[in-house]
Amino acid sequence: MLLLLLFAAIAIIAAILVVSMKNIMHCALFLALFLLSVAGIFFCLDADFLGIVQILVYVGGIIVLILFAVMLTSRVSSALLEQTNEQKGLAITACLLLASAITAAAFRTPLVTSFYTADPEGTTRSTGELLLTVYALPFEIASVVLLVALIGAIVLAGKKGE
Amino acid sequence: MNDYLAVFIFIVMALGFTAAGLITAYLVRTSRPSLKKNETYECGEEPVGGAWIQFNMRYYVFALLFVVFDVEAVFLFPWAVVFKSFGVSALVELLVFLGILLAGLLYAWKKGSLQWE
Repeated sequence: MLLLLLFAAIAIIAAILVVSMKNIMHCALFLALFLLSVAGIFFCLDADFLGIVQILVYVGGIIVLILFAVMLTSRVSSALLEQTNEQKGLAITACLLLASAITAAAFRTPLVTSFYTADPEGTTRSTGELLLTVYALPFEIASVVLLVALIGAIVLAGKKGE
Repeated sequence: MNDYLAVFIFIVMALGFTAAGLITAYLVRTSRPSLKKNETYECGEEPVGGAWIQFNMRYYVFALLFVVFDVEAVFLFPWAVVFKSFGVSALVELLVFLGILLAGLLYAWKKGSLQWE
């Protein structure tokens, strides 16, 4: 529980730094820290597979994508790019509304809080069993979705003579 | 959870070791900076310009491809854990999964996205 709170605190601090740092490169790196601490929260809740996915896909993949996007923009040479949000008030209002909506939904939904099945193997094994039996079709459809993403990425980003 | 406690201890130790090394070095070293000393160290080469230049657009395609296959690799972990107990049917299901993605890789290859011109 203590670890969970620690990771949550790191996540919140990192998230605030993401939107308040002046240097956009530092913002991206704090986003990585934020995603890592979310992975830590997953591990604390015994969702080890989700934690691994979080690290592999978000910290490993999405952050690379974001860093590349930052480095590909031509204005990155001005390191202290002023990061201002002209609609700060609107953004804060929208965030508060969204947060209260999520909180209200979380309190109204009867959440399963006792899924601590004490599986020494963790959740990866049960995930695999479900993927190959009950969710075999979604598993294969996931690969089609990935194929669509792949082709879409090539068509959009891989144009000749950019 | 307890398995990952060891990982957490390792992370804390790694961070502590780094911090302790840097802080000790900061406390005991003398500070006599000069223009030459403050230059960026680049394996003996003289650095030219800043490091934050605009990168080649082609890197982005590779990053996108990497993310797609990263997500694919995520699906392989739970599969690998249960592979032994499921046998041939698991293999067939994975081959279908990989076959569909292989078509994407072949498409990328054919389109020349894997080439650096």
